[in-house]
Amino acid sequence: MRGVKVIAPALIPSMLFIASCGSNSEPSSFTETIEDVDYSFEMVPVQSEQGVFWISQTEVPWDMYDIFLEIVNNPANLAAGVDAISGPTPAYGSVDRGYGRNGYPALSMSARAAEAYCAWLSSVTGRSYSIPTLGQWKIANSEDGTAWHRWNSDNSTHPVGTTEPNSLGIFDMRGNTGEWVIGPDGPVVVGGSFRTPDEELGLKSILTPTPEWNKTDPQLPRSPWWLADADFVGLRIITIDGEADE
Amino acid sequence: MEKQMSKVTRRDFVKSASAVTAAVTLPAWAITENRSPIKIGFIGCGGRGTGAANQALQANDNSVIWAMGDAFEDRLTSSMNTLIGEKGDRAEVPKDRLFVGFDAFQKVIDSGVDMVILTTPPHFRPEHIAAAVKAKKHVFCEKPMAVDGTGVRSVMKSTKLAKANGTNLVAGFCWRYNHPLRATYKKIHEGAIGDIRSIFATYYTSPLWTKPRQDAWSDMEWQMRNWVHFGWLCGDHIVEQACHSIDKINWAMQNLTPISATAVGGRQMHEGLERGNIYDHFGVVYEYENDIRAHLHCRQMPHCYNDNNDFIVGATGTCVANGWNGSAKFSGSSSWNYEGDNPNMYQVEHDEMHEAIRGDRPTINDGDFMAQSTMMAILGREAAYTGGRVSFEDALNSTLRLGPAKYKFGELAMPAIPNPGESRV
Repeated sequence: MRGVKVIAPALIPSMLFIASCGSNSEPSSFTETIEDVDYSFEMVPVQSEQGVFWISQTEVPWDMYDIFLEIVNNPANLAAGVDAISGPTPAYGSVDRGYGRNGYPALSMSARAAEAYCAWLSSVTGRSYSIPTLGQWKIANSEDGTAWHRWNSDNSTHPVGTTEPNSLGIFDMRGNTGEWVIGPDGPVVVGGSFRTPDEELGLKSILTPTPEWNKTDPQLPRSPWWLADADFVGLRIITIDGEADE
Repeated sequence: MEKQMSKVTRRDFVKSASAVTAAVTLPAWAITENRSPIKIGFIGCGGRGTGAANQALQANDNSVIWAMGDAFEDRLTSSMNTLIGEKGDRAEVPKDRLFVGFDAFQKVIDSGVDMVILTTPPHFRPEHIAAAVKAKKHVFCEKPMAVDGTGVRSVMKSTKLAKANGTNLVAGFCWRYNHPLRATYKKIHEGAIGDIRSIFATYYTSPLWTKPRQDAWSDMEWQMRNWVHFGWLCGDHIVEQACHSIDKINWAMQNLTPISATAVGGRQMHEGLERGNIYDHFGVVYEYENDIRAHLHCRQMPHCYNDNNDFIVGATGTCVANGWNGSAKFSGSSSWNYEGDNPNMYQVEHDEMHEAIRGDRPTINDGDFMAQSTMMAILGREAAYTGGRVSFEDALNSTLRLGPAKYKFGELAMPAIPNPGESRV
């Protein structure tokens, strides 16, 4: 593929909070790199009863999601076989709604697309990535920091990492875009978004996907990858393989 | 050889536009068929067409898909299965009314249908509209309605015939059926921002899908299955996609015909055979009388900032209309806000069409604006391809006819990429 020039979101490593895990070695944050395309992002450790996991410091920005889109739609890769790489076909309209691309959070992906993204990311990094469980998300959400919400967003998403992070050093857990997580009964979107009132952010906002989220897709079958009517849905990733390369 | 077509002038466009509101007498059969099932002929069974067919079924519990036609059997079959999944046996078409091939459209029209949905690649639209209107069928046709002036002239003739016949001719320029935007343009036309001085419209988006070539595909099949990348099939992306923005310029200008256009355009990012011969960006200036200009920028490139807005500047105020959700913001002499409902515009198209077929509302004929909006898109493309200042009349009356003279699966040369300053209208 042609080299993808991407701009990493503003990261502030010095602000990272190193979770205390009560064991001999304290887990630290790490930088994941997708070598072929010269892109990297920051993963932050979070301690849970099941052990430590690492969560992306920001919501997944378009810069990162576009790499995936370009690879799964590369004609050479497509020609290699239908099942070689599965992922979103391009939408007819622009799924970013004109809110912004470089540095802005990817949005409108279906749960299936979010999972396909994680599968692809795992295949290129050698680390197992997924979307968080609701339980993991709760632990990483300390309900503090500042947020983009209905009253300050001007009806648009904002570049990731431009608020005050929460006390774990993680940005936009609350607001900007809602985030796919695995709930007890399947994927749900949590945290609230730029469309959610300030007072309803965080765990107060847990949304179960409905057909209304993709009602106006003019095509049939409706896209399994894109939600025509859910511009408030984004994603964040986790891994438990944080120390593999340490 | 077809007989010489008389030259169409800008004045003809303006005249016929003002005649739209003339009273339409309800034909007798529309009343007698009031409660009988509507038989839908579905021609061009891709993703959008299947969506439209589903909306037509949704619009009327008494409607059935009566016949289907497509160039490809696999597309036809998967479309029917999808529709059966949505609407059950109302979409179950017996084998003898499933038609495959380039002549499928005529067989569908002749199968006893009341209305047709025309959703093939745009290249074929003028011929399909002409055949359906001639057979006195109600027509829903997706945008754009043609890819060259020759096609638009045909659509204009069909428009006149549909008016004479009293049959419905409904355009897939979906924003015309969007409630918030209807109210917005009504407000503008009532003078909320004064006389329009200038319009700037954007359609910046990402590239569309491609289908990698398979060994068994002939040139023709490959181009047909990748139709959004071949100029003769789609008209280039300015005609295929940004025509929505151009239609909204035309809407704001109340179907006033522009004098001419100049444009820039090129192919900067598109690479490879899969991306056919179309450009990936255009910038067009439409010149109207009294030095009023409308500007259109459109782009299909990855990793770029996307934007789809109409910036309408009037003598006393401005209106910015969002091209992805139909919301609008007024400033200056008006701060009007829309406060009505916002039903799915793709459904509204078909709801209103079926109401008109039943006689519950006047017959719909979108022909004048859909032909002009399509022609304006073609004009912009021709201005970019040629590098010239192209008059609307010249582009409309051009003998240019894109595509092969005869349709058959087999060899078809890769079409050339036009070079400004060398190509001719």
